[in-house]
Amino acid sequence: MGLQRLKSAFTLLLSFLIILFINSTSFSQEKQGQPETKPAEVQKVEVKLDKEVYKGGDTVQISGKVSPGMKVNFVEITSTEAKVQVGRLDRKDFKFYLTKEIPAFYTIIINEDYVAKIDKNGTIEEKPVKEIYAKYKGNKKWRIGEFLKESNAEVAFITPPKMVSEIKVWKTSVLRSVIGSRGEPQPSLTDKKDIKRETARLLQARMRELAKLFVLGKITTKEDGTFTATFKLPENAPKGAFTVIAVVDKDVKSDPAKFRCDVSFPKYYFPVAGTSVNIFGPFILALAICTFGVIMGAGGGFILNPLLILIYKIPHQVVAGSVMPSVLFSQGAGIYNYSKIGFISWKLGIGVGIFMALGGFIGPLLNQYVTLDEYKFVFGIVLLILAALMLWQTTPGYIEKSKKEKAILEEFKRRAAAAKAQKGQ
Amino acid sequence: MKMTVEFWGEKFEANIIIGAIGGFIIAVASSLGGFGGGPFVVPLMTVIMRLPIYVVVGSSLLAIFFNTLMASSRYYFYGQTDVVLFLIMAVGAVSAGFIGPRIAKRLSPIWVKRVAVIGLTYLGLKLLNILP
Repeated sequence: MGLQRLKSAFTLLLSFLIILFINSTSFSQEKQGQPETKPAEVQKVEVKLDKEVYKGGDTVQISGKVSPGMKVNFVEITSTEAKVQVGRLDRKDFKFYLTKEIPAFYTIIINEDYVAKIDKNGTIEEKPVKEIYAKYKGNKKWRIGEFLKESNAEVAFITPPKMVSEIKVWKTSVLRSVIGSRGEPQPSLTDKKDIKRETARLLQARMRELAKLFVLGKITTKEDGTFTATFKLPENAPKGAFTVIAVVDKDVKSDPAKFRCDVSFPKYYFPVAGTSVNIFGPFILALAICTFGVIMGAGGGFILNPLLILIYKIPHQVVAGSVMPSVLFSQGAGIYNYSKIGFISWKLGIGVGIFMALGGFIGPLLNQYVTLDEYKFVFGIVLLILAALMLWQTTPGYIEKSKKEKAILEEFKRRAAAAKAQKGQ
Repeated sequence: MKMTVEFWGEKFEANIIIGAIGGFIIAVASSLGGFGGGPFVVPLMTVIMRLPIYVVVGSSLLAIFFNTLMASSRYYFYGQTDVVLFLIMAVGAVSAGFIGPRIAKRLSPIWVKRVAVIGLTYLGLKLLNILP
């Protein structure tokens, strides 16, 4: 009896497995057959690149084929492997958005002859994209959402929203910022539309300039449907995999074509900054500026930071975050040397130092909140004050006074060293 | 509120409230910008708190160190520190600490400062978009 039951159970299992197998094979056959049966309905776009691996500065030759009568209007190029962290404070509702998955490089090539059609309550308006582009390029306070819509480039804004899996949100306030807090954590963005909109804004916060995100270029589509376009990878293009997607309109676009960007010595890809730079450039700059800084009696950061931003276009958040700790060593060495000869008032240093630590707690938070223009503004003011201070230090009255003080300082240092030596014996 | 600072047997009275507020403001600006606050803290302590320079040189460095250490760790935990860029800058800064004083001996400090004034003014006006 037991054996019988086991036997029937086994047959049942076997037949179930067979059904499963047949089903799965027929399903996969169906899947394979799909493109063959539906080519008339789905418009196919093929896209090819002339190479698989490029270097910064190389020109990418893009070619392919669309159905005759169609035109490729946009080409989207995204670095899918190199991602950076970008944050943005929305001034309207005081929300801070942050994600770590913004592509380090992103561009949409728009065909320069493209005419955008905008549906305005039923009436369709036509506007050459050149005009729209010129209008936005002149506007320093351009908004990426408006541009994407007006130029129709929205249809080619495909890859970044897919790359971003999470955008964190904080509700902040002036009071919260003063105590150095990002604010009340809010639920992360999950709605696809919200993610798409905010991703575009974060991309703008990263790339800043319209001309970096959108390029008017020649995309030539011939009558038989073959098309060509070229794109010059910037010298500082990040390392890793990229995708290229050719877009005709909202429904017709290619699968992503892939290429890699190689970065080799002496160029180096800085993963947090998201750009590739010849490693000797920043080094020589740091050495020269800091040497001058030591001679003039001020640290190098005052000159180094703006130059890193102006020359290498490194985001101000990363510049501040990387240069600030580099002076720790020289400061530490200085404190050690002065303390050896008992030349530090710990009471004064720690008394003021505690309040400086409080300030140092808040500054980096504000650094994330300010835009590049605001950062430049604050820095510009600081530099002018510093210049005024230095000018004052070259006036005859000050020089006379400092000469006396220097003599006292040397005298004290000598005494301190002597006392130390005596104690040592 | 006065604070008594003892230094090599001498006693100095300093207004610690001005020192605290001034130090705080300088620290916010310097950690926001990512530079050391030395050239501002020294005048704060000498001119505004009226302390002699020999008390200030070492002590101001200690005060600034608090700010640098705090801000650097905040930046690091915010994910804004590019470690390689930091190392390059650090090697540059430390080497400059050896080279700088040797060159400084051969130069007039007044003229170096005058050149610096021109350079800083130009850079400042450029950042303010007043100069191209």
